[in-house]
Amino acid sequence: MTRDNIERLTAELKENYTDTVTAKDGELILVRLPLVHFPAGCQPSWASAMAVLDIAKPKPDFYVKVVPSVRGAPPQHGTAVVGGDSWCTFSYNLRWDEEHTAVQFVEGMLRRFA
Amino acid sequence: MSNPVEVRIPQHLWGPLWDEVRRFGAYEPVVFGLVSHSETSRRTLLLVQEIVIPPGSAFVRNTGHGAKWSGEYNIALLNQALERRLGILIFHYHPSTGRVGMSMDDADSARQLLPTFQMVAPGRPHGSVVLGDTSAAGLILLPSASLLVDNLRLRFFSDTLIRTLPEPEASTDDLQVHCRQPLVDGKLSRASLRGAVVVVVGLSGGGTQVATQLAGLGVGEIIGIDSQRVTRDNLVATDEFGWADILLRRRKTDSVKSKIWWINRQVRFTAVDALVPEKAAIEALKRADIIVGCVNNLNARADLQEIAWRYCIPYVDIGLGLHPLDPSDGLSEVGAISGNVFVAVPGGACLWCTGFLTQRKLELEAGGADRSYLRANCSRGHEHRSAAYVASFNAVLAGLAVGDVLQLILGYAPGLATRKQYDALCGTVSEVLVEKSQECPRCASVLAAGDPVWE
Repeated sequence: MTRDNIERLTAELKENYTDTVTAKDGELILVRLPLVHFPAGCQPSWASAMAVLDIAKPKPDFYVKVVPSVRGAPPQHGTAVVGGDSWCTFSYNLRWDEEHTAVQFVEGMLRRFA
Repeated sequence: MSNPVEVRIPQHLWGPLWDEVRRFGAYEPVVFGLVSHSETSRRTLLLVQEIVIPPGSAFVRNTGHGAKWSGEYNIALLNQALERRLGILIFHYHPSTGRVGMSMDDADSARQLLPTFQMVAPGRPHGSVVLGDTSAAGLILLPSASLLVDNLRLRFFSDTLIRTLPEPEASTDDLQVHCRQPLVDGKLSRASLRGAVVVVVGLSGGGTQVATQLAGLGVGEIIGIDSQRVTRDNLVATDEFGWADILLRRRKTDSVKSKIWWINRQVRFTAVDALVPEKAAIEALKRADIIVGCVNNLNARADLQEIAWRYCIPYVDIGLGLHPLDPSDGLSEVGAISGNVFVAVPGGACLWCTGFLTQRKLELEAGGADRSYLRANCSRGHEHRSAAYVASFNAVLAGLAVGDVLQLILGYAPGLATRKQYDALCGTVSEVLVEKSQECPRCASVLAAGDPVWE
């Protein structure tokens, strides 16, 4: 992603998700979204999330604090250290490039749990 | 009351800092440290990421005691800190082998400068630190605080030892015994071991033996991290578990806790039934003076390396592998049984610098997928593996790791090998020469990074 696009995506996330905060971690930009909603049928129905924007990668990495149960069973997931904290990671091949919007990215990633 | 503050200085920065503050010249030398920070449950860590040595032209004539630098230089320094989202520590030196303290001038200047720094960069701590030969003192202004904190200690890493100032008060006799015979059970050595917190990650073949040896040495607190219960496989990998552990389906942490109680009741064992990098494991790791990793996969090693570097904690890693002559043949003879001990001291070589960890290796381990598949992939691999009689080999690695922990705490030997390789078929241990890579991206981005500042 280009620096300009990283700036644009960060600003967009701050604008669209209430109380979103950002931090610089080395070369990475961390964007913490305190509240994202999972698709209907997930338990819990919401969690906090984190997007990590890296100039060396074509799209952001996405993490959630809690992986929800979908129809009673949690999908396969892992745990990762991001900015010194523990976050849940999951695999989902979202078709997205940096010309798309940040909201499309976040909401698209959350469709993994639909 | 706020937590005590501990300033940590990585190995590669300590030498230049120490040389500069003691330099004799026309003005009192100062060195600026750009710092991140982290709050742990017991202390606030200030992690020096970079040092800035001001040029002679930055200093202005001062009628009083101490150094004075120009407003122009102050602004340039603040801009540098602000751009990096870091705080500023001012280091200077008072020649003394006893306890040093901030002079009246030092304290006045700190009271004047630190709030100004805080106004410009409010998210990070700022402070002024005076270094002596065996002690340190200072005043720190923490983020969002208005009062200065003086409850401070300083930790720096040499290539062989962790040194913490102020050093414990001791009589001349005790000091002499400690300097000449650090391995003798003297007052100072005992105090150093009792004051240490060592986290052992993975309580199987190697980790159990590390934990019990550390208990025997009298390490103050051992934190054991493992989420599993004892299984039959573990019995041939270590002598620390027994049949009753399997019968009772005991957690590994519970079993090790009782074993340690029998060895040394003065040692506190804290059990963390979690996997790295789950929250409870990370919180425990942040409390460590030394991390000993006894894990069986590279992704966990990458996580431990990241935590160790981020919070400037020495990391001792051990691992053992049985390598078949033909990996594709389930009945192949063993071609090699090799073990590794890697000691990563903050500011020295890390597991990434030396190619021990690479992105490609991590992906391969996760089966080509991302790490969300790792757990499933590792347990699939485990199903096909038989338990191997490796208790004695694990004991060698555990002994080497505990020797390195002892060296880091007591400094009994003139050197510390960063990487040692154990060939169990020949029964030999040899040093593998490794060097810190100046281009290592992990060292550049993670070392002393602390907690992020959210804006």
